[in-house]
Amino acid sequence: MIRIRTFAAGSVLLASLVAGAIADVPRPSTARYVSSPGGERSAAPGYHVLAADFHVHSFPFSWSTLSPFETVIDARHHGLDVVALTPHNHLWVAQVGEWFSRMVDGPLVIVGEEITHKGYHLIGVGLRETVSNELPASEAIVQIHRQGGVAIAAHPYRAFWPGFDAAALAALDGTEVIRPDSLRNEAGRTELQTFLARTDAAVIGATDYHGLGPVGVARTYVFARERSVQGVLDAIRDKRTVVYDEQRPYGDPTMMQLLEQTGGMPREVPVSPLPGGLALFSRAAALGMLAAVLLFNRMT
Amino acid sequence: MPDAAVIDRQPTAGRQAVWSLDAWAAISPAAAFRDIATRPSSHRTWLALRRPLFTAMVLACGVSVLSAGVVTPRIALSAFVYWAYVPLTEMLTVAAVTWRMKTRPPMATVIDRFFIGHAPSTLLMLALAGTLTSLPFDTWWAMLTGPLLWAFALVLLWSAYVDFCFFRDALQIRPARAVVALFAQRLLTWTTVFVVFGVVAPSVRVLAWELTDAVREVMK
Repeated sequence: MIRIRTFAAGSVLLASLVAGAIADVPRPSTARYVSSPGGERSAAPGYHVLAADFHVHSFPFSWSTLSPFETVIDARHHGLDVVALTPHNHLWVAQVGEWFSRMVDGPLVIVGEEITHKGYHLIGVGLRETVSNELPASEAIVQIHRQGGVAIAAHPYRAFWPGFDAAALAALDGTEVIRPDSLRNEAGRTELQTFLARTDAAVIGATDYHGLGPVGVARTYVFARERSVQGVLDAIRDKRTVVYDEQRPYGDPTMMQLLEQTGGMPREVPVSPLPGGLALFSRAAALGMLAAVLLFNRMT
Repeated sequence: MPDAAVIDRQPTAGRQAVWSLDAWAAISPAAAFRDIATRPSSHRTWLALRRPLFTAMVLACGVSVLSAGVVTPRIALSAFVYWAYVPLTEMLTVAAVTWRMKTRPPMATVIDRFFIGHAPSTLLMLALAGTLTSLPFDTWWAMLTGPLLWAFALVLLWSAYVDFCFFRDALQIRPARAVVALFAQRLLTWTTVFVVFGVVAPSVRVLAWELTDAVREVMK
C-alpha cells in the first residue's frame, strides 16, 4: 500500500514537472537594428535596439531566490538581450553570472552593484570594483564614473529623495521610472516621474528582480551603437533609452519616433503568472501533492 | 515517500490513522512529541535524510512556481541543490545543539524527529506559492508586506512552540533547557540562512544594519 502511494505521489510530481516544462514557453528576443533618423540618407550608423533589465539580483547575498546561473538562463528565456546583475554592495555574484553567460552564449551580462545606503539606493553598472555604501550619493556616483560605469537611481520613491543632493541629481546617468511595483500604482508612478523631472537622466525600466515573477517585466529599450557593454553604457549616458508602461512610452522623443516607425515594441506587460491549463495543472498538482504527502505520509 | 525502516511498521498509538505525524505535531505538538518519544529509534542514515530532502523539494518547487509560474526543470532541479542549504543548516544546528545531551536518541532519529515539526512552515511555503501565483504580479509586494507578513509572523511563533515541544517532550529535557536549546538553534540557523540568502556581512554591525534596512524597506 505504501509503495502504491509513493508511486502515485511520484507520478503526479513528475507529471507536474513535464506539464511545467511544456507550458514554460520562452519569449523571443525583440532585438533589431534601426537606421538613424534620416534613414538611408543619413551618414550616421544606426542603432541596435536591445531589451535590457538593469536591476537584477541573484542568490546568494542579495535576497533573491535564483542563482546567477538560473538568472542568466531566465533572462534569455524572457527575451532580454542585456541584463545587469546588481548584487547588494558586492560584485562577485554578478561576475559569476557574467562568466556563465559567456559560457552559454547568453544575454549580454553587465557587472553591477546596488549600493544600499541609509538615505538612497543606487545602481552602479559596468563596475570592476565595489563602491562603498557609506559614501554620500554624489561621491558614490563619482566612484562609479571613475570606473567607466553609469549610475542609476534605484526605486527613487519619496522616502529616498533626501539622499540625492543637487550634485547627485546632476550627476545621475539614469533613473528608474517604470518598475513592477509602479505599474498600477498611480502614486508611486507619480513619485518616480517627479524624481525624473528633477534630473537630466535617462529613463530606465527595471524589475528589481528578486526571483519572484519573471525577470524583465519592466524593461528598458536601449539604442546602442554597438552590441557590447560599452555600447549599452554609452547609450545610457546619451539618454538613448525608451521604456513602456501599459499606457505609453517614455524617453528620448527621437528614439520613440524611430521605434514607432519600425513597428514599435510589444507593450503588453505580463501581469499574471503563466496562464493556461498546463501551467495551472503544473502548479496545482505539485503544490497539492506536496501538501498531501506532508499531511498523509506514513513515516513515523 | 518510501518508509525508512522497520520502525515504520510500529503502531501509531494515540493519533488518528489518517493523518501523518507531521500533521499531528503541527496541531498538537506536545502530545505528538510525547508519543514520538516512546517509539523505537534508529541509526539509519536514510532516516536523517528523508524529511530534510522533502523540505528541499518543497523549497525547489516553491522557488520554481514563484519564479516561472510552473514547476519547470530549468529551475526546480538546480534550486533543489542550492536551496538544500536551508535543511542542511538546520540539520547541522540541531546536531550542534543536541550533541552533548546524554539522554538523546541516535542523531539520525533526532534529526528526523526535529523535521517532523516542519509542517507549519512547509504548509506556509506551499500556501504562499499557491496564493501569489493566483494573483497578478503587481499585487505580490502588497500581499507579502500585508496579509502574508502576518501569516509569516504567526507561523514563526507557532513553529517556535512546536520546536520547543520537540526539545522538551521528544528529547525529554527540562523546559528551561528546552528554551535555551530552541534559542541557540534558532540563532545559529537564522543567522546562517539570512547571511547566505540576504547579505554580505563582514561584521555583526553590518549584518544588523542590513537586516534593519531590509525590514525598513519591507515596512515602507
